[in-house]
Amino acid sequence: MSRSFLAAILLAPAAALADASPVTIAADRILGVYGQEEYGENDWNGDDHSDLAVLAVSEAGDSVDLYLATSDPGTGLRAVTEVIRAILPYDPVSVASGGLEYNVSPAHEGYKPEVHISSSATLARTSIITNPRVEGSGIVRIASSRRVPGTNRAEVICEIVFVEYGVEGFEPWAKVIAPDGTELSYNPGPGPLLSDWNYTDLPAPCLP
Amino acid sequence: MRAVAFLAALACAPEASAEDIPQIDVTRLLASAAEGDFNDDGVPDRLLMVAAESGDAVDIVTFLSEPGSGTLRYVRTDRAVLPAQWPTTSGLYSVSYGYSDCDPCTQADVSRPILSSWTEDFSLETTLRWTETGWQITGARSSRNGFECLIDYARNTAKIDAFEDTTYTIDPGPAPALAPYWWREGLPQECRLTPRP
Repeated sequence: MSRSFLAAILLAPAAALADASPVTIAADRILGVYGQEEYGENDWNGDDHSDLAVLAVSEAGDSVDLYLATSDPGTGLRAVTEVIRAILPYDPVSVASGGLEYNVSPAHEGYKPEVHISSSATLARTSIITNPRVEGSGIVRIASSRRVPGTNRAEVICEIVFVEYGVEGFEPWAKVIAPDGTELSYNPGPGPLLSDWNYTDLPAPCLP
Repeated sequence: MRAVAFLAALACAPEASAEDIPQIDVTRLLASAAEGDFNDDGVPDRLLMVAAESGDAVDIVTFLSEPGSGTLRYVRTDRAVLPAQWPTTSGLYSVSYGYSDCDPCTQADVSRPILSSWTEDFSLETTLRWTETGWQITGARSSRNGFECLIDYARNTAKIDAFEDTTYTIDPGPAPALAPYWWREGLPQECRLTPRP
């Protein structure tokens, strides 16, 4: 298979979405928006124009989807390039009772979209730093922490690192701590494509 | 008397049904705020900033928590509450929280949203407070190239920081209603910064 043919296949979903009619979402499904930033930090396609990430409840209402859009450098108009399904679970009962909160914001590493879910019931928080790419978006890092009751201290209960910026030959690593305190360390392998991944692929301790 | 006031407030309260919930073009979303407790019931509410159809303004979509259940309920869409130059990519639109017009500040004050619009021509920030009849403007800051007008409607003050360190005060006038394009006529004359032709 030629490289150009492979590239065409990989790019096809993004191009198809960009050419389609506007992607709309009912306003009450929108959980968070990572839009234009002061210095254009959210420019993940590297064209000097800020891009967009939107977190929204899925149509079925049982999970959370991430919409990624990039700006056209000429017109500034944006087009949705990728919709990542079921990046997080969604439980309307817990959300309504104030137990779960969701958002998307710039990550410290490279200002890439970081989706997060936090639970006031378990005092836990999980973040997934994504890695938007034209050829299919991936994951940089997944981290979960839990506040130690009665303190302001948080303890890490799950960390899976697929990409470490500025470190050549970086080996992915993962550390997951089970509820009984058992620590499991392993190499999670190459970062998955988000199109092939959803929150059910996470080890249980990695969700709040 | 109190009962009458309550009933009047209920009659004026912005109501929306599920059918009214707008469909939003994802690419027009500018910013969101999900942490502020606008109606001071202890549960976070939500606000979306969306580029208006015309491209020269920002609409805001408000959701408030239901008493008891905490479920977010779509309340209303306010049209053209901030200037915009969409889809130019040099604009910056954001929501933050503040307490510029309170001392001491309560949790409700801290949860008050400050909407900001920075375009190539000028910037406008406005602080809002949720009331039974909708959003109320409590403060505004307009600026362009070293000229700044800062209005605090709660304290009835307005200050101009003009060029070459000239500072003076003016009469802020009554707080404007959050009507479409309110900044064009609602701000004191000295504070109106219109886009360049």
